[in-house]
Amino acid sequence: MQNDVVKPPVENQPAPVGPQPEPKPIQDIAKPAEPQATEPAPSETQAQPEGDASPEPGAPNQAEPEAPQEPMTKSSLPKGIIAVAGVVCVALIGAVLYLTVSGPEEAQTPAPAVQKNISIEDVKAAADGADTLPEADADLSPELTDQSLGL
Amino acid sequence: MKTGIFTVAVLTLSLSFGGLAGAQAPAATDIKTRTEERKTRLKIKLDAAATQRLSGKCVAAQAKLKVVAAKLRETNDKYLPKYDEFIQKAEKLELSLSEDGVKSSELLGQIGEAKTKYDTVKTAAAKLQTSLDDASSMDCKADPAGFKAAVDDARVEAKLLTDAKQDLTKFARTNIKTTLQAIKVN
Repeated sequence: MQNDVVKPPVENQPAPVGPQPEPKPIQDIAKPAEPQATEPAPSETQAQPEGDASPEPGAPNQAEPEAPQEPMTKSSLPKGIIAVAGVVCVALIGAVLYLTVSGPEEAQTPAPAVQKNISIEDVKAAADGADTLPEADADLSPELTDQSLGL
Repeated sequence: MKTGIFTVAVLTLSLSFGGLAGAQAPAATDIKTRTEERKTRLKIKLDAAATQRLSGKCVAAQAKLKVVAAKLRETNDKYLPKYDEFIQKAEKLELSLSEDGVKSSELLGQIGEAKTKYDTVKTAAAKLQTSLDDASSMDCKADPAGFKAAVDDARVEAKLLTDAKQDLTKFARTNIKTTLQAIKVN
């Protein structure tokens, strides 16, 4: 159905004189620049260096890219990454060495008797709590004698 | 797999309900059993004269025993929590000291010893309470020997309770307090 709309009318037009270009299919009209994979357009760029797997058929006279420039761009990025990684590694090694050396010194520092969890008042209150305990409260033995019970 | 899970679930439910039923069941040693146990343990044997004397006076004595039992219950409710509170405070302090990196193994050992002494106090208090309640509530005219056994048992338990309380109080005031004061000085 779509082909009927797009195709130019043939019946009411005069016959063209001389060789006429074949009407392109709809795919070719919609995508004129996309090359066909099965039919690469012949051009002079077929003599490109090996390794270029995607020749652009639409630009037959395009000049070949300068070979030295692209390797320069690619190699500059890894060098930057290597430099940053090196700085990070040095920083990490330094941090590990610092912690290794300074850690034991901190551990050997004697902790004070009273720190964040308790206070002097807490210890004093606990010690004074012993004084609140009953002395010899309610010794019931005297109340359980035969005389007290009237036996 | 499903059968195994079902079996475990049924077992768990059975144990749960079994435990609840056991907790709700009456104590095996009721007053009669305890009375017979006391008479055997204390070797209570009354002659006719002693039986007659006790049968005539025990009811009046039971009124006095009820007063003593109430006094003991009040004293236990008032003072036993003080021991518990003191031990718990010392435990909390020891935990805080440990978290702060302060070694307090001596305090830890003393707290353990205080707990044992406190258990002795609680046991003696409970036994005394039971003896007093039994002596004051039993049918003493029908069983004067059982009444005498309960009173004698109460006398023994009262002495044990007094000694246990004094022991715990002395231990707390000397050992634990001294250890705490040493921590304070440091």
